[in-house]
Amino acid sequence: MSITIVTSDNEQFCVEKLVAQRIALIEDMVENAGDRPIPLPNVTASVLRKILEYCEHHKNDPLPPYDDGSRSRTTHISEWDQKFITVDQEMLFEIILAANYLEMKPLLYVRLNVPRVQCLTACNAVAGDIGCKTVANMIKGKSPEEIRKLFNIVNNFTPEEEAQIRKEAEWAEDR
Amino acid sequence: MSDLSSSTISRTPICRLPPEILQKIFLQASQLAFSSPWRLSAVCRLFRDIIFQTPSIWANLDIGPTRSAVFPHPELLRLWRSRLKDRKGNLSVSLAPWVKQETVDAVVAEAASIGFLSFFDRPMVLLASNFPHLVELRMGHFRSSWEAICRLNHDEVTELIDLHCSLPAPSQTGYLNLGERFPALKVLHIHQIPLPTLLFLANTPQFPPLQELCVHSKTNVWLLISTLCKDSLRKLTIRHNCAESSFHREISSSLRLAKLTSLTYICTLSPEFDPESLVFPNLITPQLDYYHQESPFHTEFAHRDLSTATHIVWAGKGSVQWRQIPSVIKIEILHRDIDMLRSSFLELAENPDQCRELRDVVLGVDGYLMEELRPLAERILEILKDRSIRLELRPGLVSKDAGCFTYKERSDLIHNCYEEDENTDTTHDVDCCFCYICRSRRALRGALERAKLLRAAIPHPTSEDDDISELLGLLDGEITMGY
Repeated sequence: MSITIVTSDNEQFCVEKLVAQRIALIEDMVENAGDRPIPLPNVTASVLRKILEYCEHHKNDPLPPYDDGSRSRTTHISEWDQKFITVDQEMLFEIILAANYLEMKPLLYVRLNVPRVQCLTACNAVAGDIGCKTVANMIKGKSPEEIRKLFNIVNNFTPEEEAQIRKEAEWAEDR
Repeated sequence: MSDLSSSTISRTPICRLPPEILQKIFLQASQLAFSSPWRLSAVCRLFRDIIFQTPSIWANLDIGPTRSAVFPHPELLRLWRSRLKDRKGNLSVSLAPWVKQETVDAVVAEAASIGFLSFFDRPMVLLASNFPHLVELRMGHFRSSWEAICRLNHDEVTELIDLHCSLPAPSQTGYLNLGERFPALKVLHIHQIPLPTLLFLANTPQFPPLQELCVHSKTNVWLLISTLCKDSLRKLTIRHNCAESSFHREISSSLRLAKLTSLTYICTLSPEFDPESLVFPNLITPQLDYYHQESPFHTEFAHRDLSTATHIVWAGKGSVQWRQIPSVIKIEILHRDIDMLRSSFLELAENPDQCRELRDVVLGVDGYLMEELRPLAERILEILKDRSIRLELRPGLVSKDAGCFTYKERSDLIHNCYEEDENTDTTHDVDCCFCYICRSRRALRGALERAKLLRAAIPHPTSEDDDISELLGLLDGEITMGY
């Protein structure tokens, strides 16, 4: 069985239900939409294509164990996921934003009778794990100036804040 | 977080991410390194606001060791405390030997937040505070580096360092009362600390229920400490690198370690020591699963109660005592006598009822023996053809548990994560002004100077002022201090 998804730029995707159900928002909408196409006004075709590629590859994965992220901060990414997320910066953040939007109504936990937090973790796979880990890996070990340059961020501190930051940098210098 | 939403309206894609996603990214990017949150909060106001409003980013952090003498800076620790807000912090602290006293004091002021503490080559009065949540403590000396750097007589250096780090006056000796002030302690590593201190530890009235104990010592005093946590101890590592035979004879009684599952005994005694006088205490270990022995002196297993052990690591001489290890499933052997090895496996083949569960044999080999061992390995497989055994040749004796690191392994500095028995001479660059070895030179010089002052201030029955002066002279002559 398949369902139809319509993106913000009006492209239609015919998706196997098992694949689409990896996305909690769609799982919720399928219940109410019947045979009608499901609109995703916040996701473009190019981004949805990537997300569906991920869902297709992971459609049979078991739900990962719950991790509240308080101590475990592993940034390991599997080989396939690494290849999947090797995209330009614009696309990387679009994927993270879209995945964040798509998990806004995670009702999967009701159907599967698993804790809500665990379902959130499962549905959050794209945004939470690969996307965030990729950005975290890009940031790790870099100086503030290098991070600004990497992401085109403007240094918008006031002179007073700059002075405080310089002091902190001096104290935090560990080499 | 709502006050942050407006500031995310920005052209740069990363700043369009919702604050909760940025929080997650920052948590993963910080990787527990103490300097990370400071670095990230210096990028832009949005990053800074999010990091300041995320106490969890500040909660679990690792500190040092670093090249700096003032890391962690006292002001930084004060700020860290304020950014935690009301959240409980959990710091892992590895103090470098060269940090200034003001830094030590600042760390001690945060004792209630410290879960891991490692300090070497520093006076032990650092432990004078209460550490209610301390789970793992590593302390002592790193003697190999002293030797490598100074090329002085081993005993002379040790004696001087012992003097520098010896016990305070009797009125102050409460500082090592681990049971009262370290109630959460589960793992204790004590490396080369002076015998009086070890004895004091061993005689402390209340001792925390340790699960893991690692002692690098000249004597069998580890047995006294093990006695105090005999009902809780699960992993015990002993590294003998010298011996005082008289002391061994005094404590040859038996000890039952009911929960012990892992025992490692590494014996590297000085060549002049008489191995006949070495007595391994009688331990009763009904749940022992892993036994690791490295000793050039023992022809048999030093520990006798091996009936339950399934994993044996053995580097030594003599034939394998199969009868002692009936439950063995995996054995790793480093042995230079090929004939002895062959006869050991012949004995096993001739006694099919021995070690029936044996499945894995690993022969650790030095490079020049590899070619000789290949035919032996084939012969062993032939000998044991009736058993389904997997045989593997490995360069050296490889075992995860063999190494004993002083500090946590996460640091990227050259010499910060050294292993106790590593010969650092081979990797040391004499021009490297910030590495552990260079810093150690300075610390050693300080120790020698203090030793001289101490000897002058406190009458000593065997004063060796001349020797100290000579050592100081050697240091000056051999090393360009540059400080």
